[in-house]
Amino acid sequence: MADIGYITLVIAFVLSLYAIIGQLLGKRLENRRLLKSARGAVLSVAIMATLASLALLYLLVTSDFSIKYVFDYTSTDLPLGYKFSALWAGNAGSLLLWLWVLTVYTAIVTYSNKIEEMTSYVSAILTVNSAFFLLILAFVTNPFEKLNYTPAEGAGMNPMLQNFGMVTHPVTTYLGYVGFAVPFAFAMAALIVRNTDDRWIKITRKWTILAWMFLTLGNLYGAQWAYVELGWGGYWAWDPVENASFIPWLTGSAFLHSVMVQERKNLLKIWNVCLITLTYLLTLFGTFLVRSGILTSVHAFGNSSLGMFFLVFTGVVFVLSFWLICDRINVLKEGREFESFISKESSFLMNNLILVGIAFATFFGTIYPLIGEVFTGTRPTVSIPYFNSVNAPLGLLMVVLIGICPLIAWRKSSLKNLRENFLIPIIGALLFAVAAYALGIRKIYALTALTAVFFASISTLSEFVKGTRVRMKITGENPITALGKLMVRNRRRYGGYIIHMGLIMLIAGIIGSNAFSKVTQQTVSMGQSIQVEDYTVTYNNLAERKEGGNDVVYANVTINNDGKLLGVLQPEKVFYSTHPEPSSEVAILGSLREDLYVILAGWEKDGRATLKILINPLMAWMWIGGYVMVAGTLFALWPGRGAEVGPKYIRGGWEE
Amino acid sequence: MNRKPLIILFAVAFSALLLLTASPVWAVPIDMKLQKEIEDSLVCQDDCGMILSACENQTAQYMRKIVIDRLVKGESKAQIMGYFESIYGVKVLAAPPAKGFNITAWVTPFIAIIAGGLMVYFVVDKWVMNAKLDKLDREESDSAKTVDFSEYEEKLDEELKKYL
Repeated sequence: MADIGYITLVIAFVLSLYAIIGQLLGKRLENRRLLKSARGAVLSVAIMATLASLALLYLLVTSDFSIKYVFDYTSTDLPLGYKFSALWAGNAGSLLLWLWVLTVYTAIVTYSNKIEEMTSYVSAILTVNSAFFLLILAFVTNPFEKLNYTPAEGAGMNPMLQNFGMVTHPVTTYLGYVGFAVPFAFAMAALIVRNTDDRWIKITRKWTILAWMFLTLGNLYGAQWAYVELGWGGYWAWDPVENASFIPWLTGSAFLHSVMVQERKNLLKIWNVCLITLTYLLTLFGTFLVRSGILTSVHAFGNSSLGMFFLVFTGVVFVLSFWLICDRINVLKEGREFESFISKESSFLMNNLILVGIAFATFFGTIYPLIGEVFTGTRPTVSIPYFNSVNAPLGLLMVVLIGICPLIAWRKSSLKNLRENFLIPIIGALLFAVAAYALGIRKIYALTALTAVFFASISTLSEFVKGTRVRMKITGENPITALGKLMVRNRRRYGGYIIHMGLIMLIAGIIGSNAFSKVTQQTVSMGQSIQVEDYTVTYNNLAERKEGGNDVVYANVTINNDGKLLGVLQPEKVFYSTHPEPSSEVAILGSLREDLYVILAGWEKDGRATLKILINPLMAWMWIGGYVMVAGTLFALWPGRGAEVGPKYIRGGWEE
Repeated sequence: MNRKPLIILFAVAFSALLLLTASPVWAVPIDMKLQKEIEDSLVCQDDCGMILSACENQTAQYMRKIVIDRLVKGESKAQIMGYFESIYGVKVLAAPPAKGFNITAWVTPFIAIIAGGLMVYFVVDKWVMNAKLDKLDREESDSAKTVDFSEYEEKLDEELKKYL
């Protein structure tokens, strides 16, 4: 099976080269037979990548330890689900997964043939990426490499990867990463054929949004995994690898907004091409960070020569794509008229400035240890305090913009328009600030941030209310029918608002958990209680159980509030048979208000246990917000009547 | 000289010291919030890349013990951070100190954003101006079409006749 897997990779590599040459030559010579044959090769590459992936999955599931990859990442007692997820637990396997997704995407794009004149170039550009991955897999890091002997047992999977979050996080992240290759390829193809109208944007809109949605999910699953698995009470450590998936998410978000301005006003063409190129390059750069080991990260795959390959490939793509943009700058003719500073168009520009600004700040902070080392001789660390300090004010501006954007009209907003639209959200936000202050929120930063969140919520919700009222007035429908039809018939717009609402919830969760978290750690005897805020945490006893080859030590802890039993928690320490370091399995009692997060930090021979207890307010809203964002994306993408309705110019005004 | 009281005193003092040092640090109340703040500002030094409060490995536990010990002794955050910096260097700090070259780490993002903002402002200003000029051009060409020049033309003809 390993031989079959490896041979399919080598054949796929040869076929991908043929597909690239065939597509480009066939297009140039207008040889339809050659084009058809090359497109067949694209499909074959996808089939070969699928076969190679299935071969590795088979080897993983059947625990064939003669294969180095299987030996390194699995063991016989590993649950079946994790044997599947071992496909992306290591360097070679995760690259194979990336290749698999990329080749399938390429085949779909090639055969859907949306813009005839561009398809060959799009397909060739995507296949160049596939060829690069195949080159790496076939000749640098072969997932089917055999050992000289067959060990009786595998080394086992890293315990921290044995979590549902690690099953879903890498897959969704890769689906997002790879997805951005499609709009990038279309943008480059549009430049090559010198056809820079907004057709490529319309065609790739769904690809871009899907890629963005998967990257959102990837980041969300990653945060959830960190929260429950790393056992420190946090969810985002601004680790280089975390940043590597956050930065393209930011530039991708900026792109999704700025393309709207191009669609409506024929502006920002150059910016949009640059932005999607940058987003794609950042996905490659992120991969370089993860694979090179150049920066210290808890998530990295470790040092390997792969980083150099990715760096070179990223450099080549950077030079070629920006050379192409510069060379074709004249064909990127765009409108040059803006009616007013106070318009929705301007707010989109501000949105881009902030999003790209946060992306730059995060990128700069991520690579700063390298810069600092060059200029000072010592490598400084850039971690949570830096990123929180730099990005928090920018994030706050972003929230305010979320609130302002829906309230400003396209083209030009009059003073009357501003007064009418902003009055209620501003008064509401001020009342909220006063009430929050009166209720005891004294931290100015948190108060400002929560007020901004409230302002953004009211302004976004007011769009639903206003639209519903207008529809009720015109059609006489009841409020629920009017709201339903309003949203369904303007899915793109209201999907966007749902995403904004999700983001607002998520940010509320971030503010709550950062500004108001409480922590305590105590060593207690059996039967002794710890009082944390309103919670009485009683340590009952310590016990041990066997789970497969692992030993689990756990504490039985009862949680009471005013004498009322809220639940029994079992924070654990798991000792793995295959790994020297034990891992903490935290116990969480969650509600919409806050999470009670209990860690078994240690124990004594006499049965006393050390419990670390955290109260993380509003945490649930972070996860709910994330899923609302995904729901909003799906709502906006759902096909059928109303899916493509967006704002458009009409004579003498703007219709939405 | 009777050394017995001195020996007893020394033994008591030594025992007390032993008891104090042997007592688990948890027995002494410390400011947990300050401890977390310090742990959030330090990085575990075994190349795991995690901040101290997030790490549970042996190096982290050793560093945490030092933090707690020094808090028990009444040291401030600055003193404890300074101690760690003197041992491990600047890399132990979770953020580069805002001095020397490291100031660039703190100011560059904001300079870049301000520069970007100015660029956006000038571009939009130009576009708004273009729109205004375009509007003026349109108005001028519209008014040019509607103005009746015949009266002026007649006057011009009369004036010209005087000189011909």
